[in-house]
Amino acid sequence: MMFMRPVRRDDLAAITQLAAKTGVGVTSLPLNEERLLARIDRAIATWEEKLPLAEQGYLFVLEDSEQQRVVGISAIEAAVGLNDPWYNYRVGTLVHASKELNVYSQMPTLFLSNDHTGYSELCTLFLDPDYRHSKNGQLLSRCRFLFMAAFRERFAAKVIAEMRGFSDEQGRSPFWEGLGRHFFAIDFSDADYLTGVGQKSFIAELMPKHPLYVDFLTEETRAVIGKVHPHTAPARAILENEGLKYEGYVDIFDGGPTLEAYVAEIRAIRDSRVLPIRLGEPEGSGPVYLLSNDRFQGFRSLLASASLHEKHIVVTAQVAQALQLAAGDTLRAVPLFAREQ
Amino acid sequence: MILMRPATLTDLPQIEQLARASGPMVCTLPVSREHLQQKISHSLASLRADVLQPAEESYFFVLEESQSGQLLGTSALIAQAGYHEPFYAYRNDVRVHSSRTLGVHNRLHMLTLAHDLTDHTQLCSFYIAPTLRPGLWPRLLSLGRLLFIAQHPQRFSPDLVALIPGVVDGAGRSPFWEQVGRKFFNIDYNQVEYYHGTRNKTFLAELMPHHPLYVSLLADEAQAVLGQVHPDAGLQFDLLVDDGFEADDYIEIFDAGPVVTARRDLLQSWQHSKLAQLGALGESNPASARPCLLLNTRLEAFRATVATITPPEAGRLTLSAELAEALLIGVGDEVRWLPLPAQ
Repeated sequence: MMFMRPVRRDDLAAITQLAAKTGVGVTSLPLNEERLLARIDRAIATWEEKLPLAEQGYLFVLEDSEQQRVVGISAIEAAVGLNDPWYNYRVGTLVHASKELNVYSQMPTLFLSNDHTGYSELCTLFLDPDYRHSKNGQLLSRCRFLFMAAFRERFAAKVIAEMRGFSDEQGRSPFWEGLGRHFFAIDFSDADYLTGVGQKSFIAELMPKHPLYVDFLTEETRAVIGKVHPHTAPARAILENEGLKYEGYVDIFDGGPTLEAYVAEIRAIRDSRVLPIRLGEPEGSGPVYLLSNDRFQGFRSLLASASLHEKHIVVTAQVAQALQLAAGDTLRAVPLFAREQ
Repeated sequence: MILMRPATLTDLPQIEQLARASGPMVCTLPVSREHLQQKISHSLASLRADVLQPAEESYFFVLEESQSGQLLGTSALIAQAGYHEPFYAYRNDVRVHSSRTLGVHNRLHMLTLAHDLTDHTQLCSFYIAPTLRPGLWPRLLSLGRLLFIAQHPQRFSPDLVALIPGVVDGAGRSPFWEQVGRKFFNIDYNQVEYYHGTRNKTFLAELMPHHPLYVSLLADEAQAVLGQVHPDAGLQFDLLVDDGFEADDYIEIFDAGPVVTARRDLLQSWQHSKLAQLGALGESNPASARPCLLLNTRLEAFRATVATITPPEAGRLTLSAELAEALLIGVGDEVRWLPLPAQ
């Protein structure tokens, strides 16, 4: 059985192995054991309520209970940009017009912004390639919404998710080549690495501060603004299925889109229901449900069949046990997928 | 004899021809009868006005072959470049962005739209017929303006500016315009320069990018022409820079040509021109004679020329009767003179 739980210190080895498999561009899983351990410790301290909001972050792992292996990781930052500034480019429009000359042009423009300061962030999503089946990726991503639904007060009104931007098989990012390189004179992979290990001051020191007219960028660079890396497309699809949308903000290094939504409007959060358990066999061919036990430190989440009734939910004993719940305890449930309209 | 004098309304048909001959390169000489007439009238009014400090005046000069009456060149002054509307240029800015973490020290070259030069007196409308390009006549036409300023300093600003045409290829294409201005205006280069010379300048404010441009993001062909001089404008560029104009601080917003600036009292012509009195009429001694730029001190009756003469002694000058007549001066009148390099 596959289930999600908060990270533990002894997950370090497994997480380091996962970090080795990600390649360039998954910024928040640097292949640096010290950083990874610090990240784990920060998550634990968050769950122990020892940290100020600016430093809080939750790290979840996907465990294969039969193999007793950690094979996936996903995270939520409680509030970004409260210590180090949180940057992105807003893709805006400047209109230049002259009635006298009968000239009108719309100029797409990149504005350096910190607009997402204080938002919660979905991040650090990675699934071992061998486990990319059986909806494991769905669980890994969406369980976070059930956690947020249970603990709304710990998160901001809006949540964002930065999608990895386009880079080719050689790891070359057209957006970086057309823009960042002019100002940083280092490789994309180095910039990415430095950001991942928290050496972000160089961004503020070297970034162009003034708005950039997109038309001055090469065609190749323009083409990838707001475009995701092919490997990220599935993750994007999941989030968009939940109602997150691209609203014109992109990453300053690779041009990848930031998806965003009001937490209250995210489908899994809005439509989830909290119901007492009855043990038994769920009815035949209903939808797969995303389930969680609504606990803070002892959070568990998994996918299973269930029968939703008006005042109770029927799940098997095995499911209840995996969620560390007994008959009569409440769990949170939502159909895994948004129904087609 | 070649003389420099203010333009008059009877010059209009010939000035129109010169405007046509100068082409789009000289945007302040538009091929528009109405505008050229306005330019002449405004200059005459300025010369007649009693001016205590520069405001909206302008001064329009021509180069005339006195025997045939043929006009062979034009030049002009605008007392305040941006009196009615701001005078725009791109300022060459270098910002240093450095990161200790990375040991990186980047000098970012940026172009910032500026109105710094609004109060400057502007030199413009320089055109000289190809036959007069060799020799000292270009110096007369260009530096004659600077000596006019030296003679009537209260009419002008202590700071000067001139737009030197930038690089345009044989087909009339400006690489800088194609890569920069066109994105905002979407009209041809010739057209925008025409508007620049003839219209209310608010269209510039409405259409120009206000945010600084990062030079490294511009296309290579645009970068290559920053501050570069049009092949036909080398003469006027060299004249001004030799006299002491600075070339690196600003460029023109449409074609990236150099915008040269100077404090007038630091110019060679300002520092070396002097007043002398016409002491006597007579011929110069060839042994001691050298080329000099000569101006009378009049306004509407302004005359200037270049002649080979013996420099003044004890502030007194001897000129031929023909020269004195051409300069509209008599014995006892003052003359401003500047020694010129021997050719």
